[in-house]
Amino acid sequence: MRRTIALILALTAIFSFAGCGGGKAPDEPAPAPAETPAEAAAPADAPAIPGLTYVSAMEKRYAVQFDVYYYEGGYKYLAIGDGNDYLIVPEGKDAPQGLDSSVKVLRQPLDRIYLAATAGMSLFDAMDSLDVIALTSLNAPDWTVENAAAAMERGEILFGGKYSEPDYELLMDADVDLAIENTMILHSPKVIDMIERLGVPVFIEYSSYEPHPLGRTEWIKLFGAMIDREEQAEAVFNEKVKIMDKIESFPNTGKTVAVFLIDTSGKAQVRSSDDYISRIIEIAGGRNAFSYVTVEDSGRTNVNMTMEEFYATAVDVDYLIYNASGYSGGVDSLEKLLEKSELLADCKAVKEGNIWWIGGETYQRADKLSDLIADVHRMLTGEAGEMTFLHKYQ
Amino acid sequence: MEENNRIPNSNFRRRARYEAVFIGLLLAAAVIIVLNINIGSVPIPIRDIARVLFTRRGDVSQVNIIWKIRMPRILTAALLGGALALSGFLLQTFFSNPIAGPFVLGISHGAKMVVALAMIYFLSVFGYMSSFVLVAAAFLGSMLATGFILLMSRRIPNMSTLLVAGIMVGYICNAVTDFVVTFAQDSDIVNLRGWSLGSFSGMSWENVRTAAIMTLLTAGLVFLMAKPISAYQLGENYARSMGVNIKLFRFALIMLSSVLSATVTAFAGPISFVGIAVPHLIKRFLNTSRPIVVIPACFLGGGVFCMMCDLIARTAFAPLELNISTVTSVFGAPVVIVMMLKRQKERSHG
Repeated sequence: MRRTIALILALTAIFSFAGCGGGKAPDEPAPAPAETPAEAAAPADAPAIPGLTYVSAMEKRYAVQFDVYYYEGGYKYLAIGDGNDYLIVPEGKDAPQGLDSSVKVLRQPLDRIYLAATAGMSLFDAMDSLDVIALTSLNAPDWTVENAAAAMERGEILFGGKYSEPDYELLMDADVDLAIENTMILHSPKVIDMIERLGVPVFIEYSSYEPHPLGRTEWIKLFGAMIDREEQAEAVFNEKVKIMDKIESFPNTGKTVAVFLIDTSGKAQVRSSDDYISRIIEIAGGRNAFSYVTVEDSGRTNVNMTMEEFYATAVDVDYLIYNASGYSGGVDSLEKLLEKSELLADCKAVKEGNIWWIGGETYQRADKLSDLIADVHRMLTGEAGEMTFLHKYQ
Repeated sequence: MEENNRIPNSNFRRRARYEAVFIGLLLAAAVIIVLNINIGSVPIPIRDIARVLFTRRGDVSQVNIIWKIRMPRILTAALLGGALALSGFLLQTFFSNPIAGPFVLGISHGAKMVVALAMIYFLSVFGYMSSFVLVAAAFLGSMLATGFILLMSRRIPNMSTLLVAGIMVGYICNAVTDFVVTFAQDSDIVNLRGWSLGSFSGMSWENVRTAAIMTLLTAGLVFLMAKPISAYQLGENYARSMGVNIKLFRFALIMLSSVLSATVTAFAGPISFVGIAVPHLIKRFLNTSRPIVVIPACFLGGGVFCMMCDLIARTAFAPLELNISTVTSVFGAPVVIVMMLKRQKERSHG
C-alpha cells in the first residue's frame, strides 16, 4: 500500500514538474521561444522608441537616403539622410510618451498634402494616389505629369503659391496636414517656420541626393508608407526596375556620352560625375565623357565651363545629348542648336548624326527614370524601340 | 494791425492743415487695416472676422488665417513702412538731397552681401539655415555698411562726398556678393534674388514684437531730435550757433537712420522707394518741413503706404505673391519723378 502511494506520489511529482518545467534538464539552456514578428531582433540602427515594439524594416534596393521601420500598432519611423526623423502615428492613436522631441510626428490620415517637391508628384501619380494631394507649388501648365495637370484643371488639386512664397491662407483653408518640400526650402527658412507655426508638419525629401537614379524612384515606397499604400508602391517600383534585370549584366560599350547645355551667357554646363544623369549613362552601358568633373558636395548637378574647355572634350565624344529644358529650352532642331555655338558642328557626334536632346519633362518624372536608362541603352546599342525622353536631332 | 491779424490766421490755417493731414492719415490707416484684415486668398465673412478678432474663437483655420497670417503681416508692414519713411526723411535732411533714401549709404547692399555669405556657409556646412540666422545676417550686414560710413564721415566733412562714398560702399558690397555668387551653386543662392526684393510674408508675432521695440524706440529718439534737426535744416553754421554739436548730431542721425533701415532689411529685406517717396508726399501734404510735425507724419504715412502696397502685392495675383519692392516702385517712382519735375519748375521760375 505504502509502495503504491509512494509510486503515485512520485508519478504525480514527476508529471507536475513536467508540466511546470517544460521537461528540460536543469543544466540545459532553455530552448528559444518560437520567433514571432513582434520579437524579431531589431537592426542596430532601428531606433528604440519607448512604448513601441519593433516589427521590421522596409527592404530597399537602391535608395540610401531613407529608412522606414515598422512598429506594432501601425506606427512607422522614417529616418531621413539629413538627420531629420519622423514618426507616423496611425489614425486615432497617440504619439508614444517619451518620444525624442526632435522627432516630428505625422498623424494619419495624411490625405491633404501640400506637395512642393515636384519630384514627388509622379510617384504619387504612379501609385494612383493624387487624391491625397490638396495643393502644389506649380501651376497646371507647368506640370508634365498629365494626371496632375488634369486634376488641377478640374479643381481637385489647387495651386498653393511658389514653394518659396506659399499662400498660407490657402494652406489653412485646405486643412493641409503635411507639407512635402524638397531641399530648396532650406534656402527659405522663414517658410518652414511659418508652415510649422500654423500647425502643419514639414517633411523635406532628399531623393535628389540618391546616388543611384533608381534610388529616386524608390522614394515611392516611403510615400506609400506615409499614406498606407505600400503594396501599390512596391508593385510600381518592382515594375519600374525590371529594366535593371536586363541590363545590369550588360557589358559597357565604352562609348562616350556627354549631356550638356549652353546658357544665355554662352557658357557650357555639363552634369557633374556624381549627378544621376551621369550615373544613368554608366548604367545604360556608356561612359560619361566629363567624368573628371566632380564637385565636393552631393546634390549639385550642373558645372559651368567655358566653351573652350567644353569643346576640348566634346569634339571627340561619341554621343552628345543637349539638355533642352528651362532657359535652354526650345532647342528642338539642329539649326537652333548650332546657333548657340558653331563649334558644335565640328564635333564627331554631330558629324555622325549622334546628337540627341532631352526635354524638361524628364525632370519631373522620378517614376520613369528606368525609361530614361532604357532610352540611353537603346541609343548606345541601336536596339529597336520607342524612346520615351530622348529625341534625335535630324 | 491787419498784419497782426493775418499772423494768427495763418497759424490757424497751418494748424488746421496739420490736423487735417493727421486725421486723414489716421483714417487711411484705419481703412487700410480693415481692408487688409478682410481681404485675402480665403474669403472670410465679416462677422466671423469680428468674432475672431474680439474673442479669438471660431473655425481653427479662420483663427490661424487672421491671427497668425494677416495680423502679424499688417502690423509688421505698418511698423517697417514707418521706419523706412522716417529713415528716408533723416537722410534727405542730412544730405539736403531729395533722392537720398534709406539704402543710399549701401545698407541694403551690405545686408545682401552678408546674407549671401551666410546662405552659402550655413547650407554647405550645416545643410540648413534658420530664420534667426537670416535676420541676424541681414542686420549685421546693414550695420557693417553703417560702420564704414561712420568711419568715413569722420574724415569727410562734405555731404555730397559722403553720399558718393556711401554709394561706393554699395558697389563694393555688390562686387563681393557677385564674386561669392560666382563660385556658389545656383541652388545655394537661388532665393537671394527673391530676398533682395523684399517681402512681408511669413511674419510672426515675435517679429512684430522685436520690430516694434526697435522701430518705436528709435523713432522716439528721432522725435526727441526734432529741434536740432530743425536747426540743421537752416544750415550747419546756424545749427552750430544754436548749440548743436554737429559731430555728435551727424553720428546720431546716421546711426538712427541706419538702425531703422537695418531693422527693415533684417525682417523684410530691402524695400525700395518708400524711404524716398513718402517723405516728399508728407511734406507736400503738410506744406512744411518742420521736423516736429513731419517726423510723426512720416512714420504714419510710411506705415499707410507700405500696408497699401503689401495688400496689392499679396492679393493682385494671388496665390502668386509679388515682391513688395515691385509694388512700391510702381507707386513710389512716379512720385519721385513728379517731385523732380516740380522742383525743376520751381527753380526755373525762381
